Amino acid sequence: MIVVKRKPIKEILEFVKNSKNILIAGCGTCAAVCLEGGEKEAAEIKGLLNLHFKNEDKNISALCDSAVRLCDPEFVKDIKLKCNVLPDVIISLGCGAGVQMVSDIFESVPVFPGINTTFLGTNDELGVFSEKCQGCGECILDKTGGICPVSRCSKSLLNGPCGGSSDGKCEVDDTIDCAWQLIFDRLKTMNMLDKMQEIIPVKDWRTSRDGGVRAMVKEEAVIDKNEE
Amino acid sequence: MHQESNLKKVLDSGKFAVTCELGPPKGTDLDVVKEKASLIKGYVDAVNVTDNQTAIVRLSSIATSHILHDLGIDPIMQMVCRDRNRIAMQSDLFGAYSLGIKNLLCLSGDHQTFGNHPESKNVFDIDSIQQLSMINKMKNEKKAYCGEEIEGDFDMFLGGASNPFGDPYEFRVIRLAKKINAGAKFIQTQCIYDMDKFEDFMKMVRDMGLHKKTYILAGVLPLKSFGMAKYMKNNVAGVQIPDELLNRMKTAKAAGKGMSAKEGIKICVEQIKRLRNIEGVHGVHVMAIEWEKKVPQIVEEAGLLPRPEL
Amino acid sequence: MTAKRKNLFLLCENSGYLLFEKAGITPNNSDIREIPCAGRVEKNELLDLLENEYRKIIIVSCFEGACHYVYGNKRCAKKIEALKKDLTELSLDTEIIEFHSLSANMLEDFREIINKAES
Repeated sequence: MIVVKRKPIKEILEFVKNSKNILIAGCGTCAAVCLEGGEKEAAEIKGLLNLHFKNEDKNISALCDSAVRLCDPEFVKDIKLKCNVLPDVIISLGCGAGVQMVSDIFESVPVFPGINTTFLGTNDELGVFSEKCQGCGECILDKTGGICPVSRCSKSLLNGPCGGSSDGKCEVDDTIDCAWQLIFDRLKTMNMLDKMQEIIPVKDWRTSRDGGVRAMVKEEAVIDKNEE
Repeated sequence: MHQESNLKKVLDSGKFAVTCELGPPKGTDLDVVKEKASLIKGYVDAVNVTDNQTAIVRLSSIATSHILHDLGIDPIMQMVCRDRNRIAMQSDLFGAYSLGIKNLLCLSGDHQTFGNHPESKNVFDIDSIQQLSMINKMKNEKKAYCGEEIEGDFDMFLGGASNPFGDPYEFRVIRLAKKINAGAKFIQTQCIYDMDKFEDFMKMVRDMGLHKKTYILAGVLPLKSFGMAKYMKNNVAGVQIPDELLNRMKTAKAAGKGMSAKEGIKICVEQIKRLRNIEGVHGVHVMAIEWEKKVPQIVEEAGLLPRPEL
Repeated sequence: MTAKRKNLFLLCENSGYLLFEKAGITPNNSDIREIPCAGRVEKNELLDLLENEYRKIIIVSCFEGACHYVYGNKRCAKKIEALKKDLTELSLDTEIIEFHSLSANMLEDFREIINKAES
């Protein structure tokens, strides 16, 4: 999933303080699981802002709505359809992709991010998330015991731990597990330690962000409606 | 036109090599480089020039190495993977070679969060093992990594680092083997204090025959004070200092001013003497960081003078 | 208009509400609601109530370590703490929400809380 974190409420207030009709758009997928930008959190931000405006005697009001996914035009269009009047400003609580989709659908309405998009990770327990993938476009997990060094080694090393690995922890911060210690341990339990001897060659980063902006088309799902 | 690396000549001749380290200034003050160089010239076979060590911005390792070369010292240019992608690395290597630099130490590099620009983005396009294999290919095939011909000559005496005390311990010798397979002709180790553990490591090295495939230079770092010893033990990842050494430094501290440094040097000299007797150790790398002036004394007391002139 | 608004007591059925029954107070300025566990109280619901109905919300949950749903009181305490941080950032009065952890025998503490709210 995409792990997100809500921006400080003061920063959100800065985005909307000169508007009259504010829409807070929650996202029911990743942001909701993160307890940062789902339906409840959208209502929470709405409540906080409205209390603030009331306290300041300002005639501004915030509404909230949410979609199953803000990264999908069908769901965002539903939000737009439900608007009696177009809002002056929208705070999107979806990841960066969601913010942009909301922008696309609402066209002239300014859309601001209410959350910071952080990483692709797992939900390890309620409220606890950790980075697991960097979307490099060419998965090498087959070579590394199912543990990703690209995202989980602080230096993205592909051929074993640097000299800073100590007691299973990374030199950068002792709250970070050394990915290569994890890989070593996993390969050992799988009786595949010989994999550690292989030199993983220089990576082709073109499949990652370094090859330019990426797009993906699943051919069989796409119908050309103009084709005779 | 290009003379061979002095370090390579010493090692090839079978003599016990001595290298030390020189940290470039945090700016353009070349007098710092020249002064440090004058302290160590003639006492070592080659000098490592750090590449923005601990991610602190300093005069470039290429420029500093070039100055040393001009002063008649054989530089070992260090190059980290943190700050350069494969394009910049190859370009800088052509530059380094053109300036007469003949030794290269390939390193991952300390993470930038340790340095004075912790907010910066890192590169890590390739890792230190891939770096070794890329440059090895460049020198063997005279082709850039992409396969295009290199215009002109290119060569480097290639080295890598090894931390025998990093975790997982079992993997350390495998990692060393990977570096050798990737093209490391010499290896400089992290500073060694736990001699028994290093002996154990060297036994694994010999069992795999690695000491016959590369030259191993054991790293030593003279302790200046008890405080420094404690700090290194507790804060530097991958450095292990036995209690016995800590106690010696503690006793020296109690003995009065100047005694700690004296004891630190004494320990260092003892370590070098012991390292010399370990089969498969081909030299010693003295990391007297910001203490370059002690290098001559250490080398002399360790019985490593005069240095061979080849 | 704001002045006329009441307080709302959200009382955990295993502690706060038992105390309310024992106290024998009939509040004039407060509404009382019995809830199964403070842990289920959501910040957005509290804010909605504060925006539209009440001047102040007082939550009384089970005593530390004595939650019938194990961590309900702890969860609630943490949510309220986070909410107060946001209120502070927006220069709002953090006293509009109170959170108390009381055991069923802390009658005097409860009386004090409700009397203060009523005054």
